[in-house]
Amino acid sequence: MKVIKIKTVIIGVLIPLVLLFSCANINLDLVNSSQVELSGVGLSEFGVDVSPEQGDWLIMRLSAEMPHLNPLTSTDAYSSLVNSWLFDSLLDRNPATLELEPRVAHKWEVSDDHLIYTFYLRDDVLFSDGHPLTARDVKFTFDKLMDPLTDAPHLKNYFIDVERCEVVDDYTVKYYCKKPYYQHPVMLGLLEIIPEHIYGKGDFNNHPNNRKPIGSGPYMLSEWQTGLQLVLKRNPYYWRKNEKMPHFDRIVYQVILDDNASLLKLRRGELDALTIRPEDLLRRVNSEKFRNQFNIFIYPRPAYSYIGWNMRRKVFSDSRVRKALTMLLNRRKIVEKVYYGMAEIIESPFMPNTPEYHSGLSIIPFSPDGAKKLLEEAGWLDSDRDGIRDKDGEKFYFEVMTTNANPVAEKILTIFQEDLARVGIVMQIRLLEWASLLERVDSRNFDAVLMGWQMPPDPDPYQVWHSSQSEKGSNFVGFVNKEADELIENGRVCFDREERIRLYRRFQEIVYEEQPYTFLFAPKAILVVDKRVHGIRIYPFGVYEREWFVPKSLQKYTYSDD
Amino acid sequence: MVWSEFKKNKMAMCGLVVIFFFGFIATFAPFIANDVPIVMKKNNRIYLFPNVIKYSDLLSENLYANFDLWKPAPGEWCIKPIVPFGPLRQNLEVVLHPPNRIHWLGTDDRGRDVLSRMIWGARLSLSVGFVSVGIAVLMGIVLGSLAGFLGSWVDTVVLRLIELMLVIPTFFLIITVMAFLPPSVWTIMVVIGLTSWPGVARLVRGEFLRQREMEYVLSAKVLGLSGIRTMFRHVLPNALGPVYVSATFGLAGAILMESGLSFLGFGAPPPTPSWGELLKQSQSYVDFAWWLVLFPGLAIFITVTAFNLVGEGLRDAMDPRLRGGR
Repeated sequence: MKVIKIKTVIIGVLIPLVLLFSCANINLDLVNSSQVELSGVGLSEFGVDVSPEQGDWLIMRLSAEMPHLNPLTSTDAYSSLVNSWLFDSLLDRNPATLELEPRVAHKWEVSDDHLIYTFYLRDDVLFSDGHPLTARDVKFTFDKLMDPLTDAPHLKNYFIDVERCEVVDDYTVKYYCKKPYYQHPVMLGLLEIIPEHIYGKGDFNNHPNNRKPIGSGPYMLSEWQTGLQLVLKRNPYYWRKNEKMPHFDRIVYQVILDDNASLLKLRRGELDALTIRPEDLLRRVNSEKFRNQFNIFIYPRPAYSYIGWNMRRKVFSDSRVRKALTMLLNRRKIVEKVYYGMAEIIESPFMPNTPEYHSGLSIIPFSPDGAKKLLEEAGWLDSDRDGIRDKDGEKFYFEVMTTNANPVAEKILTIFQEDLARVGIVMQIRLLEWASLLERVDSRNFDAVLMGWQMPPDPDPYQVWHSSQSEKGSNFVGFVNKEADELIENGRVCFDREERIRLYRRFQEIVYEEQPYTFLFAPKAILVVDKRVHGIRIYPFGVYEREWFVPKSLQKYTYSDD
Repeated sequence: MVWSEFKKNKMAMCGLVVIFFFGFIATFAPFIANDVPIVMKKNNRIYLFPNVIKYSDLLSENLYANFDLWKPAPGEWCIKPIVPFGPLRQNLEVVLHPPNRIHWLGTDDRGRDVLSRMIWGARLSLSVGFVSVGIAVLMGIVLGSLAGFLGSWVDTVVLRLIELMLVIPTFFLIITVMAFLPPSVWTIMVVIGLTSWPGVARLVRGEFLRQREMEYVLSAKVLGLSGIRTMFRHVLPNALGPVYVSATFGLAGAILMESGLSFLGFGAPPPTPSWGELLKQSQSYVDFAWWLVLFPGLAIFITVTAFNLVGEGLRDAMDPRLRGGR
């Protein structure tokens, strides 16, 4: 889902870090060290051959609570999670093929020059208050998004080349673009539609309905107990009602901040699905009883972590130094011992095992000797013989920052710190609260930072890697490279995926050479789901809860408000 | 006289012994738990105490960061401390091992020796305690004696200040302040010190008010001594008794405070070892890694109790009304 990416470009940094526990394949070491029997671990699907039935509740966890729910102004991944149940978009993305499919728009057309998009809307879509959804709501959503007063810079930046939206008739809407951009269909198609008659009045940024959202999605918000839970119930006017959609009577999100507490709740049967940590899998849920009650799924999470080097700083201005730093981070050992084998080492900002990822890039190995050589080449020697390398009177000293919310990040950094000290580099670790971390990064006031990005199905490196974003934008490391800029720009107007992949391969080679980031890991998620939930499939970009259901005979919560 | 009274109190003596024990461990931590040897021979030269003295030729080989890997070659030798692990030294091969013959108190989630971190943590906890209480006592004495001796508007100002500090919950004030300051051991010491002086100031002020009316002050005045001199040379020593007692309790409070701050992640920056930080780590493993909870928890409990016992002993020994009563 494209929209998630946009939001998560900001927040994505948070989510992977907070939840960043993942996996590659379960290796032998895991088995030996803890005698985990791997039968039943890491399913790829469950109960997909049964036909879906309606009923029952699905209770899940939110690890943090969102301030409000508004598809345009919410910036955190938690609200996009909930919003996806409450709001509809013109198009849908097939989770398996990643192709766009009809949703509110039953048909759409693109002009040959990729500048005009026409969407034909269904005439039977109603908002959860009974009002019909028309082309005017679509135009309202777009205009509201582009309104300079609306607080949505993270989203706006993907629509800058869309000139205007035009209502042709009640159920036809046309977008005119200034420039072609291959992501336009995705961006326009997946923008969640908000009703004009609700959000048209009053201060949009602090709209009262941000706490009582109204959309045309399969569910509506029934109850929001701050700090406790969000309860979603069926939207009685949902247009796919006759197709037996949606499956669950209720979706409940419980706000549980603590990982251990949520695991306890899961075990008591108070949660139906939960993402757990690798050590939970090894040490806590490693029992026959647990596996009789729950299915465990292990799949790649579309996110990666990295250490970004502020290339404006003298110590990091030389690519040899940055490469040496990568060589000093023992990523293999960290995958093995910190992630228990549940993460994959990456060397580029694309999702591993997708065509966009350049598999020809070899993993830079952990090699203190190689790093020493590179550092010496770059002029970083211990000339005053005090055990710390220096160059032109400046000591090799820097501060690395990360969020205080993620113990794994701190662990990785202390391991790194030790290996750096062994070759005479002093790294200070600074844990910051999320908001102040972002503030420091946005003002470019940092040496190095460990964070994460989420990876969307169709990646566009523009936001993070284009030189235009280095002053103000997400290119906070200050990566400026003419050839890379050209490749990124060409990629944006290239509508042929194969061709784009070729461009992006060269781009990845440049990033690999330059090492503006030390890429760390693409984690895998360990998802535990109650056995009564069927219809679970693992897709390239995760699971798709909308398909889940519970067969009638296994249903646990029978209360329904229908 | 106080000492002979104090000695009679068995519990207080126990506390004192415990404090001296922890103080000894804290002071000599580099000799007890370290991967840097106490004595070693290398480059045809004997290095005495490389664990406390940084020798430049060892530095230039960057050996201090690599002592765990260093094996004496033929003709070289070394004597390592009894716990041969540095408090920061990680070993991912022995993550979360329960207490065993090599790691007496087990290892934490990145293979650091818990005993070594406890020993160095004692250093941090005790120094935070002493320095912050030192700051608090100094401030308290100065402000309290000024208020008590000068009276009038100075007294009013200081009293209002004390009341202002007392109505703000200290712990939350400290957390708020720590969120804005760069985290370091010194910040913690100063912040705890600057927030815990009102108790001392109030005591000193009260004592001054009492002493001010006594005859010896009058006689000092008659002899023509200056106000400052009377105040600091004559009244202050007489007013200090209760301060010692309160400082002892303050030490226990400060140690507890530091542990609490570290536990909540507002303490010394990682990977600085401290008891509270060890406890914080244990949070994630509390259901199976009992050694991460038990030992630092016990250490905090014992130290705080010891200081409180000594404080009580001191109070009883100095209070003439209780003297002979037991």
